[in-house]
Amino acid sequence: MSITVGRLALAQPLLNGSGTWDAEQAHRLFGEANPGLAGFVTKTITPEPRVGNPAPRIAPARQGLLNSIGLPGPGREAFLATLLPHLRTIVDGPIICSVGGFSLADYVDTVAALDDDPACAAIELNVSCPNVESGCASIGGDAGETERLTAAARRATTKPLFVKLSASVADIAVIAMAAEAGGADALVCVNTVKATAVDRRSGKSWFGGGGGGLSGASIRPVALHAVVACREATQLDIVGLGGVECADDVRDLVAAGASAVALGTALFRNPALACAITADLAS
Amino acid sequence: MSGVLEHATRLGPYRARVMGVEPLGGLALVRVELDSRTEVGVPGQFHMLSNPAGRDYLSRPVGLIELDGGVGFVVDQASAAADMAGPEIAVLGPLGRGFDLSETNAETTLLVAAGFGLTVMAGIGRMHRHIRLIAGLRQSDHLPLLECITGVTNDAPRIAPDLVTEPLIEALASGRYTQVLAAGPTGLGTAVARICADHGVASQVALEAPMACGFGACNGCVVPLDGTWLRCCIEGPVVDGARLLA
Ligand SMILES: Cc1cc2nc3c(=O)[nH]c(=O)nc-3n(C[C@H](O)[C@H](O)[C@H](O)COP(=O)(O)O)c2cc1C
Ligand code: FES
Repeated sequence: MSITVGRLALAQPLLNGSGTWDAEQAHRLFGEANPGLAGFVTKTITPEPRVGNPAPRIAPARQGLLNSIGLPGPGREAFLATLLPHLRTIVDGPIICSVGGFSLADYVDTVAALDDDPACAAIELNVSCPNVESGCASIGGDAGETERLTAAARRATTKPLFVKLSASVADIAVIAMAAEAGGADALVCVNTVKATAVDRRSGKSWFGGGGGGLSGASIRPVALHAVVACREATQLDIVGLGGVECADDVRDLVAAGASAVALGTALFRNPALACAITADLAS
Repeated sequence: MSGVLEHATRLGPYRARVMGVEPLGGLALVRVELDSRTEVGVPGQFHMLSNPAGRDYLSRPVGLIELDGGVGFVVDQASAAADMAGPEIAVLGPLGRGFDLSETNAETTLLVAAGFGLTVMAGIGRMHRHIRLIAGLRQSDHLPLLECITGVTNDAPRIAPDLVTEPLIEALASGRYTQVLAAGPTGLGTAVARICADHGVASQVALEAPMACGFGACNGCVVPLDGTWLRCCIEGPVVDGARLLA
C-alpha cells in the first residue's frame, strides 16, 4: 500500500508522531528502530541543546495524556553530527526531521543544514509545541508568521516540507492556507491540544515547566475536525494524527482527507501497535 | 485485546493471565501467569502493565515479584479492582536497569526500602537469605506488604513519620556494611545516597517516577541525575547513588 504524501514516498501510510518514539532506544530494546512504521519522524530539533522542563512532565487524563516535556534534545549540531547518521543506519525507511525554534532564523538555519544532508528525507516544521516559553506555537498561531516562516524554509530547502499545526488556534483553516501560500508540501494535523493539570492546593500548574498539551483518544475528534478543515481549505496532502489506536481510526482519518496517519500516545501502551494496525488494514 | 497482542516486540507486550487478587492490608497482591516469553528480569527492572478493558488509559510501571508458586505484583486496591483484575493483562518488559548484584552478600550489604520500593527487595531476599532490610511504610495497614518479601531479616519497620534514615545511620556506624541497596521515592533515594556518601559506603538506588511508556519514547519520566534531568526508565530505575548528589 505505497503512498505519497507531500512528495515523500512511503511504503505504507503509518508514521510516528514527533516526540512519541525514540528509534535509538527502540533499536536497543526491541531490536527494531521503527517496527511497523513506514519511516521515522524525529523529536523536534532545536538550535541549541535543551534539558527540557523540570519534573513533573506528565499527568494522566481520562482517555488521554497530559504532557509538558519542553523539547529536550541534543541541539542541531549534535543531531547532525551524531544522531542523524546513527538513525540512518538503524531506521527502516525515510527519516523526517522535525524542526523547532524560537525565531525565524532558528528554523531556517536548521532547515538549510538539513537540506545538505542526504539522511534527511523530509522536513517537518513544528510551529505548534505548547510547552516552550516563546516561538513555536506563537508562530503557528499567527497566519502571517506561519506564511513568512514557511516561505523562508521553502527557500532554504528543496526537500519535502511539512508544517505541523495546532488545533489550539482560532481557525486552523486560516493557518493551513498560510502554510500553503508559503510553499509547504503537506500539513501535519495535529499537535497536542493546549490543556493543563493543576495542583489543587496552590491552584498553579501541576507541571514543573507549566503549560501542557493533551494527546490520546480524547483528541481524536479534534484531529478529525482539523483534517477536514485543512482538506477543505487547501490542496495540500495531510498527515493525520491525534488519538489513533486502531485500523478504524486510521480509516476515519483517511476518509476525512489524510494521505498518511501517525501514531503517538497509543505507542506508549503498545510499541508494536503499528504492526498490528498494518495487519488489520491489510485484512 | 484480541488481535492487538498477536503482534509484539521481543519484549512484548505479551498476555498474562490474572490468577487472583488478594488483599494485602490497604493494598492488593495480583497473582499472574506470565506468557512463556516474558522474563521477570533482574531485581530493580520493571514491566509496563495495561488492561485494555480497564479504566486507565496508560500502562503502569510495576515491579514483578517472584512468589512461591508464581509471579505477582502489588498495587493499591482501588486500581487492582478497576484495572488489573483481568482476566488478562498486557505485559511489556523487563525494562530499565536493575541492581548490579555482583558485590552483594548478606554479610556486608544492607537493604533500605519504603512503600512500593519494598517489592523491589523481594527478589534480592530470595537470592541472599537473611540479608538485612530496613523497611519504611506510609501507614500501618500496609504492614502485610512485608509478607511478600521473604528471605530478608527485617528490622522493626518504620511507619511514617518515623524515618528509615535513623536506623540506616546507626547501621552504617557499625562499619559492617560496604554497600546499600535502596528503593523508594526520589527523596528517600537522595537521603540514602547522601548518608552512604558521608560514611564512604557505596549505594545503588532504585528510583520511582511517573512513566507513560517505560522505553524512552515519551521523555516524561525524568529524575534529577548528574545535575540535570534524565529519563528514569533509561538511566534507571536503579542508579549509582552518587549520581543523585551531583
Ligand atoms: C510526550 C509527547 C511528546 C511530544 N513531543 C513532540 C515534539 O517534540 N514535536 C512535535 O511536533 N510534537 C510532539 N508531540 C505531539 C505528537 O507528535 C502528536 O502530535 C500528539 O501527541 C497527538 O497525537 P496522539 O494523540 O496520537 O499522541 C508530543 C506528544 C507527546 C505525548
Ligand atoms: S517513561 Fe517514557 S521516557 Fe521514560
